[in-house]
Amino acid sequence: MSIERVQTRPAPTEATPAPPAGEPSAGSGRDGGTRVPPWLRRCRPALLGSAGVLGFLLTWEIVATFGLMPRNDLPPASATLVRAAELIGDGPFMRNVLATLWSSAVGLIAAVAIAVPAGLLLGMSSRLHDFTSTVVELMRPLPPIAFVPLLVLVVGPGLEMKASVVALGCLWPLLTNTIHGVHSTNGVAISTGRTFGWTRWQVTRRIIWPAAVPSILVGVRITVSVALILCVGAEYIGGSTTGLGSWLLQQSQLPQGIDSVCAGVIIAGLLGLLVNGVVSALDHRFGAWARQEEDA
Amino acid sequence: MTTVTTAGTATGSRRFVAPLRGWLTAVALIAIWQVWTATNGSLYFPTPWEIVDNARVRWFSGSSLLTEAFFREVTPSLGRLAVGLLIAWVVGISIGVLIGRSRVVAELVEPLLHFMRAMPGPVLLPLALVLVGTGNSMRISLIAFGAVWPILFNTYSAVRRVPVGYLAAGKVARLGRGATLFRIVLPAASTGIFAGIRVSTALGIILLIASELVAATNGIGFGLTQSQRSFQFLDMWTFILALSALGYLSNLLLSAVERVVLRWHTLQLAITH
Repeated sequence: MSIERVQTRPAPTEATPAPPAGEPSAGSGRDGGTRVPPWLRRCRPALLGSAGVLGFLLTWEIVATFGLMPRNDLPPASATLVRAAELIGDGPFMRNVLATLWSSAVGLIAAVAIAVPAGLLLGMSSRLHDFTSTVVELMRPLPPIAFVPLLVLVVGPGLEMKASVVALGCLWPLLTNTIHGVHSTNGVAISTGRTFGWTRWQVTRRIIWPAAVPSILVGVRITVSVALILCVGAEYIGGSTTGLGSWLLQQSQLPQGIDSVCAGVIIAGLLGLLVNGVVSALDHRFGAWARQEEDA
Repeated sequence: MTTVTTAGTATGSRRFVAPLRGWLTAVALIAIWQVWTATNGSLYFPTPWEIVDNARVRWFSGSSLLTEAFFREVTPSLGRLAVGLLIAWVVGISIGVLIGRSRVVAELVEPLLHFMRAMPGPVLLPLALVLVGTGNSMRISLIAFGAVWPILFNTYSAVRRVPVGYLAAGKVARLGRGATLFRIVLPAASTGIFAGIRVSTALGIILLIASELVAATNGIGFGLTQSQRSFQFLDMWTFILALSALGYLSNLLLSAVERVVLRWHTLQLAITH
């Protein structure tokens, strides 16, 4: 089953929450004496956010030190963070992280290379779309992880297997988003292009493609986190020897491995944040103009 | 999900032509698969007919339809998935609403939330192994803990995006806290919540299979890897089929529930647009 359905715009999952009702706007300081300086208002989310993170780490430290968990194995937050810092400087560990990142990237790029041209074609030809839609609807909900054992047999448990699983999972959201992007093209713009005597290729290149890019980028944003999830899952199930998932599983079987496991999980979270950040930056760079146009 | 039919071309005959064409391709592909595997006779690639027949004999040929093997191999997985997801949904929606309704709490936990949501769920498996053990509770807690973040985050952002006007209208009508929650906030956020439920279900299936890999004695994931390791390729394909059916049917079920629960929403869209 595909991780993420089509999303026409970066709706619920990705949205920045709007301020709720009843909040005084930043400029109006007249709330009965408790005047907060504007700089403090601006810093408020950052301050509270850091307080939240610190509070979490502190709770973790206390729970671990006094053994409040049913099984007294959890290392304290401080030890975990120290271990995480060590791991980031550790060559063999980082090679595993890079193996996972690289497999996810290869799979994602392969999925984009297949899904975007296919989506453009299917978006522009309703006949082709008719012939393929049932197959797509049947294939899309299948869990890509199910094909891991088969792929291990065919290509082995390495990069090819992981990248294929990632590609298989990322294909459908990208495809449906591309088709949606093509369908969102302004019909008048296409007709205008035709009256200029543009060829089919020129219309595609100058009108349909720019109109579809934002939707494709939404698809990429969605599938980036999917790619990491599938890659780690495939490493477990396929019994890979390299990659973050395999490393974590190996560590969990060592007697003193729990520190490394906790640290590895923290690094995995940071990795996820980093990857999401990179894609958001790309989206800002290449997708922002189109959204402005949409709003106007 | 947007069913993509270009407006204007949806004439009467097209309503039948489009699905007909779609199924034509699907049937043709399965036929090619059947012919190709039958002529090839490879051990790795049984024919689709053999796979379906194996599934029938294995799971659906009992005296009252389901066989003992079905209860041994499939039911445990279904139970784990259902319990894990249910916990994830209940916890995710409740905490999501709580955070979404309070600005201070939201600002406190937002960085943590982003961190947990960005973490690829399956990395939690080794942690769960060490902290919870190797039993059923490990599998259920892995599914619950891994799948809770998308639903929590989606609920939270959907609640924050409830139009201010709706809440103001509630105030004017002097609705209490409970009534505001059940008659304004939750209905307005329901589309976002459903999107979260879908994402968490797909993630839950991945976590289920990953969790049934280690120290398991039953379940679809166990059967899948066991049959691969013992070179029982027909069985392996049958488990792939079972897993595909799980993905497909859970999707179908959620779509049906969504259609019923969100009927008012589509009606409203039809009126206002």
